[in-house]
Amino acid sequence: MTTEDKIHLEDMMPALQGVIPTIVATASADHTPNVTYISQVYFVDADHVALSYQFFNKTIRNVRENPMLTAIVTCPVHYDLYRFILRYEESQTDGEIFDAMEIQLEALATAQNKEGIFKLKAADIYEVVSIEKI
Amino acid sequence: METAALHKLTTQLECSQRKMDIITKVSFELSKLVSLPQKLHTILDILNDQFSLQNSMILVPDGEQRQLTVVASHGYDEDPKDKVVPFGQGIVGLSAARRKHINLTGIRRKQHYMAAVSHEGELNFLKPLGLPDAESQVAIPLVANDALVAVLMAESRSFCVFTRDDENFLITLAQPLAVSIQNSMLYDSMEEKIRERTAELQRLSETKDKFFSIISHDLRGPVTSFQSLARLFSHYHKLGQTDKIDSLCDKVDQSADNLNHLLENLLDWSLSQTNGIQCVFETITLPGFLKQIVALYQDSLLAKEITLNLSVEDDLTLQADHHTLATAIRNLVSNAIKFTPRGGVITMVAARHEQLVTLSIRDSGVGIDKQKRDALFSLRGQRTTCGTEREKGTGLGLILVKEFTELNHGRVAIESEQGHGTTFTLTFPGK
Repeated sequence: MTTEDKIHLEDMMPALQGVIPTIVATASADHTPNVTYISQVYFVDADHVALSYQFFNKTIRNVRENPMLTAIVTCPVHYDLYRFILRYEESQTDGEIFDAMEIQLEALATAQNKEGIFKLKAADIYEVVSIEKI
Repeated sequence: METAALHKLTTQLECSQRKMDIITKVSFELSKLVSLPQKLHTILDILNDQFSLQNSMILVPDGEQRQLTVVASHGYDEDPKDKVVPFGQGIVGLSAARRKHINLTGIRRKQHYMAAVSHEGELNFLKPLGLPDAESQVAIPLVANDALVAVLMAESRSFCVFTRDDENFLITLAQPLAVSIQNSMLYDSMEEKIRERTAELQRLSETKDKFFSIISHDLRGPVTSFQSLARLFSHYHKLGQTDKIDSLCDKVDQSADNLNHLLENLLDWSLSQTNGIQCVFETITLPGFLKQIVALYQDSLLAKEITLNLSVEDDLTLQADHHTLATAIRNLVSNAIKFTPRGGVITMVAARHEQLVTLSIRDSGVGIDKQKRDALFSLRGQRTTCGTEREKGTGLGLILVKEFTELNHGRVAIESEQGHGTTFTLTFPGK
């Protein structure tokens, strides 16, 4: 990929607003794969995204063992598909990113009388290794 | 490459120009000192014109910061004005409670996902303020001087309507919007204060007019009659006619009573106008209390040959202030005597009805027509009516009855028909 062709995270904001669920693939330490859907990949900065950690599931367990994650993100405007290669960096339990993700979750929950049910345990921060249009 | 860069720069320039236009327009509108509703609607119109925010609303918090009320909206089939949302609920309530902007899209899918994950299956949406099928919503808290002034909410049925740039620009506008709305609120509250002060001044002016009218007119009568009586005393004294002097004594006594009653009412009324009445509540045993009041009017009743029947339950008591209650009842008795023709009947009944104590005074007098009844308890449009034997009054009596009854947590009711007498009923809480 040339410098001109590089896909910038800032240019694909609609795809990072959770309109269409994202497919994520992880693998455990013994290389057992797991593919599932997640609701949203959150924009953090030009080189990072965040995923919400609400429940301890197989995806969360896998990235704690093996930090690489592949995500297929769909742009809801043109329906273009992008493959993200991500590397897990850290879990944040407070701060600007955590607050922004938590308030979105709470706004949706309180609109249907489910406040307090959907607790955000952490904002898992991933480095964006590469983005490729499929 | 150069063309692409140029195109990008042009787009950025156009975008900046558009933002400058909006800021200029908004600044111009915000600088106007207009009422709050007018300002809010103008703001929403500008945001629609310049920002394509077709469905938007502004909500203001109540004093206790418990709920927000829609005060202005734009683009809804059904006007959401006056709808309320609690702090902390939904995008608007949460934005207000946390004082943070929130930008959501893909709302319905995410809510379906939540319903599925929470194993409830069925969605349990609260009735939305605006669009029932909104897919994108943005809520911006408008904060000025560290106080939440309002929340601006915009929504759409489309996805990804509010870009990060839009969101940031709205946040930039939020500060001047908040200050301007706060200024309009102050302006409105000042206008309201001016209206209240004007009404208060008008009331004080009416009070002052009434006071001078009583001083100059109603008090002059008895004083003049005292002067005439003094001259007659001197005249009969010179003539040595002591029998005539004796008969004058009754008139002096009567005039002194009337003057005393008038002065007491005037003093009480003056005190009540300056909130100078201090109530001391005590248990009043009504049989003895009412008998004492009736005794004060024996001479007047005899003079007009009026029969007063008093019926009161034994040991009936009332928690009330002695002075104000006595003044109210004295005025009702005096009023009944004044408007009952010679030989008539006045009936006073005090009784307990469940949790209430009622005292009614019914006369067989001339009655009061509806138009006069409506103005009885107010100074405005007050015209005193002479009694059946030309007895004069000040018009203060019934005003005192109402004010003093209310000071004792009671209320006054009146039933009357012209030519068929009048019944005043005072109702007080029994405990």
